[in-house]
Amino acid sequence: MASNAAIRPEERPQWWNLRERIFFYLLLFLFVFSLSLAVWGVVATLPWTVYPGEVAFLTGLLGFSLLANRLLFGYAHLNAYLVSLRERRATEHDARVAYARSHAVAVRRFEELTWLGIAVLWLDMLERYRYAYSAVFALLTVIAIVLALDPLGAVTAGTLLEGAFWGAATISLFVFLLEALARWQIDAALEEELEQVAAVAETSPQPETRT
Amino acid sequence: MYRPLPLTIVFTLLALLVGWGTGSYLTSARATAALANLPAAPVVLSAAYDKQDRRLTLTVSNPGLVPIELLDKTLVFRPASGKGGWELARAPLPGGVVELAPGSIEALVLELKEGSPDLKIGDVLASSLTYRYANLPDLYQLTHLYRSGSGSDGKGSPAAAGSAGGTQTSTSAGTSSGASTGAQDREGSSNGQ
Repeated sequence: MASNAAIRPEERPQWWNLRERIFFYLLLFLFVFSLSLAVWGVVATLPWTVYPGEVAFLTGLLGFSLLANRLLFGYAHLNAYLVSLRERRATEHDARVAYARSHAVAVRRFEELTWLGIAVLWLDMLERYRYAYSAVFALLTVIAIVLALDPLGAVTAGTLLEGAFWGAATISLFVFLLEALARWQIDAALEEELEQVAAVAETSPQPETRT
Repeated sequence: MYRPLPLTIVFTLLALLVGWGTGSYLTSARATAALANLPAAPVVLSAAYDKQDRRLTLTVSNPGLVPIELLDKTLVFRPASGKGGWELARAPLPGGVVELAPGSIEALVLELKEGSPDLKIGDVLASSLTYRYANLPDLYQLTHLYRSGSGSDGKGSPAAAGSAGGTQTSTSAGTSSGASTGAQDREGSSNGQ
């Protein structure tokens, strides 16, 4: 195909684009920096009082936003793509970028896929990351609950893990919201697509004989 | 863009839950850190001496989380000038055993012995309270040093010092001169005897 010769950089298959990568490494730097501050005891010398529970909450928030980084950006871009599809203002360039980001190149060539099919493949590509994220979050939840059951756990590490859990829950809320929104939009678009197929079938009925 | 109403409702509820949990966690983290600084022992907030009735009124608070029973009192008197030495009187509390609920403040009236001389400036009145916890077998003791005639009472911050043994002695100087005065008075008492 002629389009292969003119692949733009944003149409190349990639995990993140440049802005997301910069954001990710900024976040990583912030995470490591704040953790090392906490480890060195610099937190205790700050002019305002920082409680261990608050440090635990920030650790959960930053750590899980690192873990959820790809999911947050992926679902957000997928939602924007689905909205542009729904409003019928998506260009072929948008579809090609979505094709690159969804890694649908491993499945079919661009010309063989519908634009909505690219979105479905994109959601499927993000599924494994969502599963890993959910597993880590569920593990943290279980440990936090089990430690909260222990009356001595409340005195030692239990409350700190609870703080990390609340920080992680704040990030998970956004992850699951964006994912549910993408699923919802894809379901609605598929339904619309089916209705159109049914309407076409009604206008041009083809006689078929079935046993 | 169309609006998925069920998603909005479900995630609004979830966000309220997460915000509620986070807020209550952060608040309780601060509250427990503040509670950890409070001793689980009675603290004398202020002491006032009534010259005419010759009685000492202690305002005792229980900042801890367990109830405390005040059992009896010991009053020790030492005049400022060298003669006499220490006089001691031990008696049950006037109103019987005083229950100090967590967070409560009680006023204890301690009357001096019959025939004891009037307090002069510089005299020290050491009042000890014996107390115990409902779930522990040991008796503990709190000693409050009141120095007569040194300005307003109860302004000095009560300083509690506990020992790990069977008897916990919590000493605080009721005068504005601070805890160092109490240490000097104790040294002076051993010389006097």
